[in-house]
Amino acid sequence: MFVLRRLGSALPTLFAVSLLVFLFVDLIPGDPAQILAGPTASNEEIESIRKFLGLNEPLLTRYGQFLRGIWDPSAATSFRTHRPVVVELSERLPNTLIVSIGGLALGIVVGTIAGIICAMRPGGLADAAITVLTLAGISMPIYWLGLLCIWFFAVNLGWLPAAGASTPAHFVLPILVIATRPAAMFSRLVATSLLESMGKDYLDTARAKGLSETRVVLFHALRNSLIAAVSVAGVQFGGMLGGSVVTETVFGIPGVGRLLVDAVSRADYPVIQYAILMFAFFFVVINLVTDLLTQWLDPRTRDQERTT
Amino acid sequence: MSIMPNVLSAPERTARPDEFARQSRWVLLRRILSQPKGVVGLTLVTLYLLLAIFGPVLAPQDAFRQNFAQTLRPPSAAHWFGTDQLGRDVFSRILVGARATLGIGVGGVAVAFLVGVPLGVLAAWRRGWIEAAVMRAIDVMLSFPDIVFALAVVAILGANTQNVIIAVGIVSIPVFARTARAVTLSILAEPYIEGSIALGANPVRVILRHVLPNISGTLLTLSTLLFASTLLSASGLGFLGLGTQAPFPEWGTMLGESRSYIRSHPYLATFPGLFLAVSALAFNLLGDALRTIYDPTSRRVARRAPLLGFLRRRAPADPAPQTADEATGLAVSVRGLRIAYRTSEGLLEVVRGVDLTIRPGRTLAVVGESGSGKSTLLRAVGTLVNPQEVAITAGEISIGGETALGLAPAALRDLRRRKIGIVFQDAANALNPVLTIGNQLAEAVTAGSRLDPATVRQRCIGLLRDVNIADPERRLDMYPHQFSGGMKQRIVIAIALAQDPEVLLADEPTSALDVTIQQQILVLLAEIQKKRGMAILLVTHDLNLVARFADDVAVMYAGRLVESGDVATVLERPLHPYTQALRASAPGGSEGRGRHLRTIAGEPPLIGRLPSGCAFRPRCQRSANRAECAASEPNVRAVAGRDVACAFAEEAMR
Repeated sequence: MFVLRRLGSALPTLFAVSLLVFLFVDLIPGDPAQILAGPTASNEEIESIRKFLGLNEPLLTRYGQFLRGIWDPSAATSFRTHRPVVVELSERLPNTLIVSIGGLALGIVVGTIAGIICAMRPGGLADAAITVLTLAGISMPIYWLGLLCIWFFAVNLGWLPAAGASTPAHFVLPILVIATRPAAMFSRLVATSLLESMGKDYLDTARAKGLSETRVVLFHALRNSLIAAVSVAGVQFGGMLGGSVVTETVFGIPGVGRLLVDAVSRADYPVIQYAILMFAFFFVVINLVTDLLTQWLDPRTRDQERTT
Repeated sequence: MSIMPNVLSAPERTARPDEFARQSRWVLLRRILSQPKGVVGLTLVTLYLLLAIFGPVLAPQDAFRQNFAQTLRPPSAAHWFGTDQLGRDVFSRILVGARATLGIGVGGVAVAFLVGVPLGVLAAWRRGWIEAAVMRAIDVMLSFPDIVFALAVVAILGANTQNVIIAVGIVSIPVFARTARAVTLSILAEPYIEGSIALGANPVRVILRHVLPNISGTLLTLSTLLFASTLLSASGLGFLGLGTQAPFPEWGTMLGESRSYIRSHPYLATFPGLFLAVSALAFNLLGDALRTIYDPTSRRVARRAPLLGFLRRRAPADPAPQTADEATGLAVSVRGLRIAYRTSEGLLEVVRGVDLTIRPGRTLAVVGESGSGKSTLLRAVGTLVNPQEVAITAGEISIGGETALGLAPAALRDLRRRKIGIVFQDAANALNPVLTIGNQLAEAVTAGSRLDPATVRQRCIGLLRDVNIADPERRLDMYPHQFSGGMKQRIVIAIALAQDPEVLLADEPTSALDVTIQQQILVLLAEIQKKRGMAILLVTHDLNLVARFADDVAVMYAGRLVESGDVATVLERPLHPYTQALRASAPGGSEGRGRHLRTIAGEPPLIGRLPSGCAFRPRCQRSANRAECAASEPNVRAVAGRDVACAFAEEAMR
C-alpha cells in the first residue's frame, strides 16, 4: 500500500524530469541542427538534420515521440551511430549497474563497519585513523584515485587489468574506487548517529539483560541509528551514482556514463537525452528504495502510514 | 558528487539569537585556530588563495611554450615537476592553472549562493505557492545525479570555462536554497522575530537585520564545504575534456591529458592530482572547523575519554580484598563508594563516599534533589556506568555476595543477567522502539541459556501475566509505541524480572506516569517483591512514595548519604537539617494538612564547587556560621537508631 502511494508521489517528479530532458534540445541557444551540421553545411543538410531530430513537428507530437523512444527502438536513434538509442543504452547498462551498485554496496558495508568502530571507541587510535581516512576519502578526486590505482595495481604490480570490462577482474578496481566516497560518507553518518543513540536507556536495559556489548551495539543501537543514516544518505546516493560517470571513463569501461560523456563531447543529442533520463530514473528508484528501507527498519513510521 | 554530510542532516536545527552575528571576526578566527583541523585548513586555504593570486607571476617559465625536444621529462632541477607531452613545464602550468581551477570553484559557489540563498529565504518568507514551487523544483533538480546535471548544462551551453562555472553553480543551487529555507524558517519562528513582524516591521529590514546575520554562519560553513565539492566536480568536467579547453592549464584538464601517459609517465598525473586533492582537503578541513563552531550538535568530540583513560580503567579502583563474608546474606552492599565524571577539566566527583546495604526482601529508597548523585549511584550499583564517562575511583560494590567491580566482561554479563534487574524513569526510552516487545523479552529470557522457542514464548507470556498485562499472547508481536506509558513500564519490569534477579533497581519508576498508574505500578512492584523475595533499590524524590513503599530510606545530598535508617524512624523524626527541610517541602506529609509547604532555601550545590566543611552549610539554619560546620565534613554516626552526618544531630531531638 505504502509502496503504491510512494510510487504515486514519484510520478510527478519523473514527469517533470522527462519534460526537462525533452526540452533539452530546445534549450540549446541557436539552432541545434545548424550546430550539428557545422558552419559550412548547406541548407539541405541542415534541413535533413532537422528532419532527423524531428524539430519540424509540433511540440506535443515530439514529446509523444520522445516518450515512445523509451521502449520503441525505432523511435529514437543515435545521431552519430544511427543505432537505436535503447539498444546503445541497454548494451552498456549491465556494466554501469555492476560498477555503481557494487561500489555503493561495498562502500556502505565498509562505511558502516568503520562507523561502528569509531563510535565504540571514541577518541581511540582507530577512531583517529578512520576520521583521517574519511576526510581523505571525501577530498580525493576519484579520477585521480582511479589513475593512481591503475598505476599501482595494474602497471606496477600487474595484479589487475587496467582498462576494459571483459572479465570480472576488470571490475575490481572501478568498484573499489567508486566505493571510497560512499564509504567515507557512511562512516561519518553511522558514527554520528550511533554516538547519538549510545546514551539511550534501552541500551542499558539490554545490557542489564546480560547481553554482550557487541550484541547491544549491533542489535540494539545500530538498527536505530541506521534509520537516521539511511534517510540522510538517500539524498546523497545520487552523487555516489554520479561517480560511475567519471570512473567508467578512467577505466575505459563501456557503460552508460561513458556513453553520456562521449555523447556530450560529440553533441549526440538523442543519446544525451535518454542517458540523462535513465540516470534520473535510477535516482528516483534509489530514493524510493531508501524510503522503503527506512519504513522497514522503523515500525513507528509503518504505523503512522497505516493510520493516515 | 555532493558532499553535504551533516549540514543537510539537521535542517530543524534550532537557531540561536544573534549570538554569533555580534561576534567580531577576530573571535571567529580565534575559534577556528583553536582547533587543529582549523589551523591546518585555514593555513592551506590561505596558501591556495595566494597561489591563485600570485601563481602566474611566480611561474618560472612560460606555461604555454611548447618544446618538442623536451617532452615528457621526469622532474629535474630545470623542470621541478617535469614536462608534459608538449614539452611544457608542469610546475609553471600548475602555478598558472591555480587561478583557473580555484576561480571556477569560487565562481560556481558564487552562482549557487546568489541564486540559492535568496530563493530559500523567499520561500521561507512568503510560504504558500512560492515555497511549494521552489521545493518542487529543488526536488526535481536533486533527482539528477549532479555530475550528470552538470554534463547536461555543458551539453546545452558548450564546453568552456565560463559554462563550467554555470554548470557547477546550478548544481549547487538546491543545496543552498534548501538550507537557507530551513534555517530562515527556524529563525522566523523565534519569538523576538515574530514579535517584530507582528509590530509591523518592514519585512526587508527584518530579513536584513535579523535573518541574514543569523544564517551567515551556516551559509559560510556550507559555502566552504561546497567549495571543495564544486572544485572536484568542475575539475571532473575538465578531466573528461569538457571543461577549460586547451591550451589553458587547469588541474582537472591536466589530469585528463595525463591519462594517456599513466603507464609510461606516471608522475605527470601526480602533481595536478596532489594539488587538487590537497585543495579539496583544505576546504573540507576548514568547513569542518566552521561547522564545529556554528553547529553545536556536531560537537561529538567533547565526549572523548582522556588519552590515558584506559590505564585508569584497567586498574579497578581499590582492588581491596573481597569482603564476601561481610556481604553474605546481603542483596546489595556498597562500601566507601566514590564516583567521578571524566571531564575536560579532570575528574568531577559526584558520589563521595557512600555506604549502604540492602537485605533480601527489603526496599531501600534513596531520596534527594536532582543532581545529588542518586541516579549515578543507582547506575553504578547496576554496573551500568559508562567507563568512558564515569570513573569509580574508590570503594566496593557487591551484589548478592559477589563483587561487582573490576570484573571481566563475561563475568560482568553473568552478574547482570543473574542478579540485576533495572527499571528506568521513562519506559518509552527504556524499550527499543524498533523491536517487538516479544523480541525484547525473549532476549532477556534466553540470555546465557539455550531454550527452545516454545519454552521461551511460554516464559515471555508468563512474565507478561506476572505484571498483569491482559492478553499477553497477542501483545508479544506489538511494538513499544503501541502501548500506553503504564503498560510500557510494566513491560520494562517484566524484562527486569526475566532472570529472577536478586535486586531490582528502579530509577524514579513512576515519575513519568500519572497518579493512578503510579499507584498501580508501585503496588505491582510490592506484590512481586513479596512473591519473589528480592531486594529493591528505589531512587526517587517523592517522600510520600518512600513512606508508603520503602522499608529503609537514605537521604542523599551532594554525593553523600546524610541520613539513613528505617523509614518510620527517619521520617517520623528526621535529625539532619536537610531531611527536615525535605520533609517540610513534601506535600501531604503525616502532620498538618493545609499547612504551607516550605521550599528549601538556597540553591543545590554545584558539583565540583562544594563549600568547605559540610556541603549543606550554606543552606542550613542549624549551622548559623558555627566553626565546626565549616571546619570539616561531618562524619556519619549512629544517633537514635539511624545514621546521620550532622555534627549537631542531637539538637533536633530536643
